[in-house]
Order: sequence, then C-alpha cells, then structure tokens
Amino acid sequence: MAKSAPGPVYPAYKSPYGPKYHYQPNVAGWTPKQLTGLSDGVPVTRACNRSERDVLAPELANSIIRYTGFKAGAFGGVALFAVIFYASGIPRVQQDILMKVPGLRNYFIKDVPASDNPF
Amino acid sequence: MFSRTALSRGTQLAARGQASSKLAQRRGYAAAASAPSSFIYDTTDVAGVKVATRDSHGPTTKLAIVAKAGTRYQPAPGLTAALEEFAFKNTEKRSALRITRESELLGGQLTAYHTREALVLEASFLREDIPYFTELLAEVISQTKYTTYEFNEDVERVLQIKQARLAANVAALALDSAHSVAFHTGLGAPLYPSPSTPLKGYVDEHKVASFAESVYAKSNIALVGDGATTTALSKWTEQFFKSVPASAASVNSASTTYYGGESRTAHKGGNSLVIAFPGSSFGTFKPEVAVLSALLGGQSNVKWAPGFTLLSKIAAANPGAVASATNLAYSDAGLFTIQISGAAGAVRATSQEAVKALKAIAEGTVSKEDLTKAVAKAKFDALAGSESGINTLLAAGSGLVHTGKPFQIAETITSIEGVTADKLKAAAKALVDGKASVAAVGDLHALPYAEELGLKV
Repeated sequence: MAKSAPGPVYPAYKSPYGPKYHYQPNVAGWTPKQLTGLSDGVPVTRACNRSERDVLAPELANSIIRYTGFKAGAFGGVALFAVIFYASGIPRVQQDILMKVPGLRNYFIKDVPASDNPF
Repeated sequence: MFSRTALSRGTQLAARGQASSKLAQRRGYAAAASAPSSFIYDTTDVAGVKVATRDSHGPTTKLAIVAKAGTRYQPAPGLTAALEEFAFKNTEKRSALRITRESELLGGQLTAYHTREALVLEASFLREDIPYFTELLAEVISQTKYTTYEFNEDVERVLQIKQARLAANVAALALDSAHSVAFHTGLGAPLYPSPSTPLKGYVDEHKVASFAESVYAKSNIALVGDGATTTALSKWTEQFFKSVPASAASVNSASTTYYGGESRTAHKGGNSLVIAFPGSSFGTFKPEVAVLSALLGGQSNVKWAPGFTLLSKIAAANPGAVASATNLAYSDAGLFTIQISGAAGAVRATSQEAVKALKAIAEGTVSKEDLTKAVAKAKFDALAGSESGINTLLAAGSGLVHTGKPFQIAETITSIEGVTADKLKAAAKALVDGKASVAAVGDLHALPYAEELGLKV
C-alpha cells in the first residue's frame, strides 16, 4: 500500500514529552542542502551505508562528501567546456555541436576557401 | 609579583579561609551524629504504586522500577534473566528502535539488571525529561509485546552468550554454590543460569510473558527516584501508571531458612573457596556482622597497598590468593561470606588461616586498634554506600517492595558505633559454633573440606 508521508505503515506512538524531531526529506541519504552544495554535511544514511564508505580512505571519503551539489556541477561544467574546446577542431564537432550554440555560429562559418586561407 | 590584584586576592582568600574553617567546625558537630538529611528517601503512595524519592538537586535524575522479581521469585530457572533481557524491547505502542533512538536523542541511558531479590529497570536522564522516561518505564512494564522473533534473535542468543561467560568465572560459581547450599530454594537459586543449566523447557516467550504478568503489578513494584522532587514524580506517576495491573498473582514468597552444608565442584579454570555464615539482613540489621566483615576486610583502602586488615595480612603471607569478607544482605536473610580465590595451594593455606583468625576473634583476642579500625571502616562503607551508586537504589527499592519502607543504610550508623569487643566476640562465637556453608570450586585435590578447616557443616 503506497504512503505519501514517510514513516512506518503501522500505527506508531510518538510521545508528546519526547524529543522534538522531524523527518528530513532525502534521496538515497542525500538531503536537499547537500545536493545543492550550500552547506557541507554527512548524508542521512551514512551510518547505514558504511560498507561503501569504509572502503575509501577517510580523507578521500570526506572530500567526496564535500564536493557535492553546485561545486560538483561547477567542476563538471568546466570539464565539459575543456573537452569541447579541445575537440573544437574536428569539423563534425563544429557542425553538430558548436554551430547549434546560439552565439557561436558565425565563428565557425568558413567563407575563405582553404586554398587562400593561411590558417 | 606584588601587584594590587595579587595582594587583594590574597587577603580575600585568607578571609574566606577563616570563614570556611569556622564553618567546618560547626559542620563537624552535626556530621558525627547522623547522616545528612539529603540521603534519606521520602516515601509516598501514588495511585497504588509505592514511590521513594530523594533530591540531591543535581542536574540528572535516576529513575528505577524495582520489582520483586529476582531469581528468588522465579518459578523456573532463567526466567528472571530472560525478563531482564526483554526490557525496552517492542511494546504495543512503539518499537524498540523508536525507544532507543528517542532516548539517545534526549541523552538518556536505559539499563536493566537483576539481583537475587529484585529486577531493576533503570533510566538515567536530565531532569527536564522526567515525563518521557516515566511514561517509558510504565509502558515497558505493562505493554511489552514479548514477540517470538525478539526472543529467538535477541533474548535467547544473549542468554547463551552470558551463560558461556559464566563458565570461566570460578568466583561467581562458588558464590552461587554457597547460596544454594545455605538457602536451598529461593535465595539459593543461582544468580545467572550456568552453562550446563537446561533452559529448554523452562524459558520461552510465552512463559516469560506470563511471568511478567504475575510480577509487574502495582503491589509488586516500587518506583525509586534519585534526583527528582516528590511532587514532580508523583504527578507523572499518577498520570502514567494507571494502566499497570493492580495486584499480582501470588509469587512464591516463602520465608528463607538457613540450612548450611558443603558443596565441591571440579573446575579447570581457577580455584575459589567461599565460607559463608548467616549474616545480617535488611529486616534485622546486625551491626556486629558489619563490623566483623570490616575487621576481616580483604579489600584495601589504598591502591597498590595490601592493607592491614586480617585477611589482607593472611593473603599477603600466602601469595597467589586474594581474600575478602562481605556481608550480602537480603530482605529476610543475609549471608556473611569469606571469598578466597587464586592458586590452589594458596587458597588452601589462606582458608585455613582465615578460619583460625575467625576463631581467634570468637575467643576475644582482637586488639583495640583493630576494633577501632573496623568500626570506622564499617561506618564509612555504610555512608559511602548510601551516597550514590547501585546499593542505595537497591536498598531503597528492595526494602520498599519487601517491607514497605526503604532500608536507609545511613541510619545504621549509631548501631555500628555501639559495637563493643564483647558484642563482637559473642557474634563471632555464634557464627563459628553454628552451621557453616562451604563451597569449593576448582582443583578438589588441593582444596580443603569444611571439616579440615574446623567448621561445622
């Protein structure tokens, strides 16, 4: 039976005198704060997924957790730009990718024939 | 060096020093007479439950349910231990996981343990969380589910591990043998089932559930709060303990008789000899026994120094053995034990010397200095025991549930101070002339018989 709210399906009693805690929405242990990279934190299910994380050295594991969200995106963006820039000499890449980008079309149109072109 | 602040601070300290010494003098007169009033428990009856509280005004509270469900009252072996393992497991309202996580979030600690007379469910927490833990304890008592899978996965598995752990502990085995020889049934049941005790037909989740039903009832439990005010605890008790069933089915509570006798068990893992006599109980406190156990002693007050109590001197003369004298007090009986463990030859020599020392006390040859030392040590042990720790909680709760009023250890000070050499001699003579209980575990070729020691069994 599908439930919309998180928690157990059977009735569970939460004492009014107990600690006040709330459910953190998460995807596979990663909360929205961590996914957007606005603050560093330990994933919600870190304690459960110890097997994967224990294999890595502590410093490495720590750094993987730190570079989530926007930071990972930023590195990815720069890497993508570098790859496309490196491959921009290939005509197939020029025609299929770079000429489709709105502002770059003019830079890749070749008017001067190759016989007269010093480049 | 002679800055203004240094000088002024010095005069401040000097003035404070004078004041505190005056205060100490005044306080000195009060302390000699009786124990401080903050050690005494106040008892009330709230909604049918006996409640004892004492407030030390500290930041934490220790709340315990003391139930008359020790190994003395179990109808079959292993039930008390299994019921102790079932504490804080799934209840009708919440799961064990929720209980553990919420207690951890509050910083509270939950524990359960049992003695020969009582089963204690204890919670230690910060003062402001008292409603949560009172509700939790009431729920654990009345609404635990005792599910089959928990019995198979948690309780039975842990029970077997704990039984196996007892296999190598010769001192515990000898103490259990001494109790069974002294008291037969009831108090004589072993504190924990030994590895060779068959539990198959005696313990399963249904039997534990019915034992819990008979034992967790308002007339059979006491609620002890150390660090809680009476008003706060009464308010929450009234609210949460309504659902606990009122009266218990009759638990076998025959009064204890002392028999005496001898038991010898072969064991490869060490040697232990326990010589036991009828001692002082909570019901009838015998200060001479307390002074006698302090006189024989055995435990040292200064680290790395063996001390100069009689048993310490004997053990120092026979290296390889440790000996100590303790009085184990229960509600209607007590066992005064001399426990000796170590290498077989040393245990043999130490036990012979120890019985000789006891007989010498019975003749009256105890020096004045030794008597003063023993009285002082007995007083200190009583007061230190009632300050904090497990003994004070057990004494209050067990006393409340057995006799209707908590056993205030600190109130025994005046009777301890009144013990004279003649009273001590008479008490020792009564012990030596009566039947002893001797339990030997280990290398039986070396360990002596009771008759060889000169004791009557």
